Amino acid sequence: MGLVDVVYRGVFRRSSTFAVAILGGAIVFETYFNEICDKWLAQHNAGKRYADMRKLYPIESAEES
Amino acid sequence: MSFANTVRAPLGTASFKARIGAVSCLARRNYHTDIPEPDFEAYRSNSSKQANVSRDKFDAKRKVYSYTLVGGASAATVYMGKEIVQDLVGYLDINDAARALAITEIKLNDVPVGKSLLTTWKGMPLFVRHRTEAEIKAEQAVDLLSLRDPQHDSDRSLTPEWMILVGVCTHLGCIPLQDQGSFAGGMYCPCHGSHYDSSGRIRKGPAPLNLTVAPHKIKGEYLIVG
Repeated sequence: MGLVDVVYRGVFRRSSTFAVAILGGAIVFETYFNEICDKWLAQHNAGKRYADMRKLYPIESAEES
Repeated sequence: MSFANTVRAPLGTASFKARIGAVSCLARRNYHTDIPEPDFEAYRSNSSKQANVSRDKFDAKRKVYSYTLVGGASAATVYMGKEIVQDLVGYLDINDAARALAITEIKLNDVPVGKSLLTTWKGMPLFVRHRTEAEIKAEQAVDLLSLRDPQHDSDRSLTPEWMILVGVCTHLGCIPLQDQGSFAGGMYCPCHGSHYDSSGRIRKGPAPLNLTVAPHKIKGEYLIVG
């Protein structure tokens, strides 16, 4: 079990390396978690958001350009 | 166990001392010596049952499962804590509705060269002037030592063509008139006769400071003030 040994001895055994791995994992987790949740909500509320309907109601504003 | 050798038993019977001494030779526990150590064989992992193998060799396989779960849960908890702190600190910021009210958008094509626009920003009058080449040259060439409030023209705008000023006279707060006064493209305050040049700097009259420059940025064909 080479990978298991490397991961355990290299990361999990020491609190310092474990903490660094957790913080890095939190950053990665945040990115993918936000993306997945946004996609799911968009799919769950399809057609109801402004982003879906903006083509029906064109407004000339600085934010649009 | 030096403890057994040095203790002076306050109850002071020989049998008490002998019992303490005998126990310390056999087991590490000094109390509950009647309970046998339980048999944990059923709970041992397969990898730990190998005889004559150092525990270091199979530690990883046993522990990595638990540590992965702990690590994953900790990462999720760190993310939760970060979101909570971020939201709480974010409450100190102004909300989106208030921020939207504090912004004025102007379409740049509405103001041709040499013309001024009067509008409002955050309840104050806003002067937007599209300056001509001649005005820009004149303002950039002004000697700063001759000004009451010395400021170079290029410090007062992002681009020389667009002058965005708050239209409140720095003397006593009247609203100056645009394209009036002794200076080309400048402003004149009718209340007490302050003359501003096309860069909004005070030149003649009682006002002490230049007209305030409104913070702005140009995004595509729109000017966003505030």
